[in-house]
Amino acid sequence: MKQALTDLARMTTRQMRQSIAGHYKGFFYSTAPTAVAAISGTVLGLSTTTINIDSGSHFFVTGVSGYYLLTTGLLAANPMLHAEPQLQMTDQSSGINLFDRAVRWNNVVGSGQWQPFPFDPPYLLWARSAVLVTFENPETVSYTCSITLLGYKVFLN
Amino acid sequence: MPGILGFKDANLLRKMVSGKVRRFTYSIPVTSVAVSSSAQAAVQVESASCFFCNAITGRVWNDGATDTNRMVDFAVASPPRIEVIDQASGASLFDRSDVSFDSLWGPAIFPTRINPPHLFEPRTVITVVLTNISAAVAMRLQVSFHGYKEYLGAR
Repeated sequence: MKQALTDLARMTTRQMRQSIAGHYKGFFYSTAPTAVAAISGTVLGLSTTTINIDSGSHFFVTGVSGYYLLTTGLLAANPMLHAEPQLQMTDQSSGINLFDRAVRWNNVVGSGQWQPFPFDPPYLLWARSAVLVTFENPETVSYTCSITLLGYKVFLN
Repeated sequence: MPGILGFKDANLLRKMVSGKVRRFTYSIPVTSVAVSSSAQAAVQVESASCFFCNAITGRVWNDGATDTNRMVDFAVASPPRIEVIDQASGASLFDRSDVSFDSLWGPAIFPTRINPPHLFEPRTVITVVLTNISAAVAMRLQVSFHGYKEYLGAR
């Protein structure tokens, strides 16, 4: 599977297009809504969750969107009233972090209503890999957080 | 060259699938800046790759006693001023050192695009100089530089 995708590196652009034609589709992977505890003193609340990538296709991440909810179930939509969480994403196929440190929400997470945060260039997640998402909460109330990875599944074998 | 699988450039896709290029984000730490004062924060580009920065986002939060970490309302407090220096060349990215935060940085929904991308050499230090001109509101800032790493020997 991995070899088939790396074959693209040796193709002309026309050959690449012919090779992937009919072998990709837009797709969304999301984390489960994840409870993240409130800050305690100076220790941020912390939770982790995982997104597992299909075994039958690779995934190119082209954007990220997400939300964080109050315990009432309402959207914590105004960052002037509720501090934004921060997050880190780790590609578990390589162990590599996508950011050099945990980054505040509105630096890396967009919105489906407006625009997802664009991953330019896209990030490649190999088939059967997983993304570990770590949420940290600097606010004095707990949140329920979730992110969605937008992109393309690519089926090559 | 028309896009393919979300890549604007087929060459980038070739490099991505062969492991020569990886999308990445460098950020300065969340940095506190007291009222009417300046602070510096820095992030170092790793030694094995250069970094092409094609977008920047930034956020500013209160650093007060009751509303810490909540976003500053720029209608109430003046936006801070910012300068970004690429230490490899010593050059600032801007012609002035008093550019307003609000003029340059967007959130993730509307990141500030840099086209063509700015190249940061391996091991360079990106220094961000933050100046809080508000006499009333202490602030915390984080600036993120988005783009892709290209590993040495891969070009």
